Amino acid sequence: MEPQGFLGAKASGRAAEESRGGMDSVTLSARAARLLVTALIVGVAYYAGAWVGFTTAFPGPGSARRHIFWPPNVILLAALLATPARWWWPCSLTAFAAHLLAHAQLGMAPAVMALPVQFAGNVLQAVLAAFALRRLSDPPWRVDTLRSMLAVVAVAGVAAPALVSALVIHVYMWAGWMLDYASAWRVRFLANAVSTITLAPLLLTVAGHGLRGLRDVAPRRVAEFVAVLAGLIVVGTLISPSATSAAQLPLLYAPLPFLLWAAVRFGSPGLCITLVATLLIFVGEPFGGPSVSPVPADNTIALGVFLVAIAIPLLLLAALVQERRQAQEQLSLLQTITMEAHTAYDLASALEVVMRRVCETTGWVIGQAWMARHDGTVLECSPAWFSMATGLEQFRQDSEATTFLPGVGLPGRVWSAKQPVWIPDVTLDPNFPVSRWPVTSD
Amino acid sequence: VAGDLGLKAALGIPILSGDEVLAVMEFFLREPRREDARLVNVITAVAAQLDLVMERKRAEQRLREHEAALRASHEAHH
Repeated sequence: MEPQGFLGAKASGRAAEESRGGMDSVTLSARAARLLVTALIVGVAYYAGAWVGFTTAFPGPGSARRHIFWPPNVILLAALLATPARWWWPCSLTAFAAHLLAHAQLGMAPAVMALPVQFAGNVLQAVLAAFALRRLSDPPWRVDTLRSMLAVVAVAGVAAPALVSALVIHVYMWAGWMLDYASAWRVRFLANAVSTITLAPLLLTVAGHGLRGLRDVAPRRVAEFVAVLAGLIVVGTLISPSATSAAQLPLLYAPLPFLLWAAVRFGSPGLCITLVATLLIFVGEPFGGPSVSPVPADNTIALGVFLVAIAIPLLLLAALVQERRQAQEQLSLLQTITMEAHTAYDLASALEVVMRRVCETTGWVIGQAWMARHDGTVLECSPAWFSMATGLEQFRQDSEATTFLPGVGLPGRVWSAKQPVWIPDVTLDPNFPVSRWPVTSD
Repeated sequence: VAGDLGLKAALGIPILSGDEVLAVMEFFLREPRREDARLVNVITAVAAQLDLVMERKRAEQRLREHEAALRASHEAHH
């Protein structure tokens, strides 16, 4: 079937020329600067994460340390998810520099040659998790549904650390840097599981959305969150210095009410902050570090398991509450739109109201409407449209000059099927006319 | 960055009146996204309301025409 009235090669050729014309040296150097800044941020964040990892580590047998919390790897994961794949090399390079620097200043690896092995393992773990998360949920940083939270916890929090820890410790054993496979695996796995599960939802949200959401937070909400943190600190002072005997270990449950409070009221990012605060209390951080921790040093494995065991259900609860809240917001959106559409003057203005509201509240960048021509043979572009993005003027003009036969293109397909059609990526869709590829890329 | 300008995910929603498609709304995103059944349901529910709006606008139009015709015939009688 030949589409009628499609803009030919001329129009798309012109668009391609225009987009090439815009790619001058200025944008290239701006891109290079952005890459440099991003790589530097990743390096600094990796170093800061390693510093936290070393200060929260318990003294192990001999000069070794038992890490309970190792944030650099989840920082790397967030960086890989937030940047295009061609940026992974520069980001990994600065992270490697940070890895070497942190170990030189803060603590030694079992051998100098162990450093690249450690780091290769960390990168492999982040890459594995990033690939799996990109496949399981896109965009991968929307950790606000039960499904996406399950994916983050299972893939990034459990599967990737378990697999890579087995690999890395095998190499360690083979090189003779470690003697006890089971215990070394448990320490590496748990340190990664604890840090990924407690930090990934927060870091992925920040990596995906930036800190924009913080601007609209009401002062009352801030005060409430401060109250949660204050409660945690009070509980922390109660349990920390005294709870060294086994009889007092149930006191480790004392932060639970505040964690639940955060999960229900502040979603997964807020919960992550309180989970990290709880972890710091457990390792005795506010009172002088692991040497005064309420948890005996030989109990770090148990502490790791405990943290993972309380964090997972709380995060799933937070995701469920967020999902419910979104459903409620969508319902009220439905009511608002319906009322506005009923007071609209005619169908075109009603369509415009609907498309504006949908774009504004759900983030779609452009909405257009197509009406069947009176003779019922083709779909014509309606004057009703809405866009909150710039740079789509050409696409709109092209659409206005286009008509669709039944079954052709997205509007034609919806017209024939009489039901919604979702295309995950039009540039990969065979029945999406190339001439309609908006603002032709590359 | 030319690639950033391109639209990726797309959604088309029909506005049905009985078995007839009155209009099609299409939406675009700048990144690829998998089908979100909840979102589709919400927009479909709104589209169903638009059908009612259409029906009412048509009925209003018919009523106005009818009134005009009545008035004309009334005036013709006198």
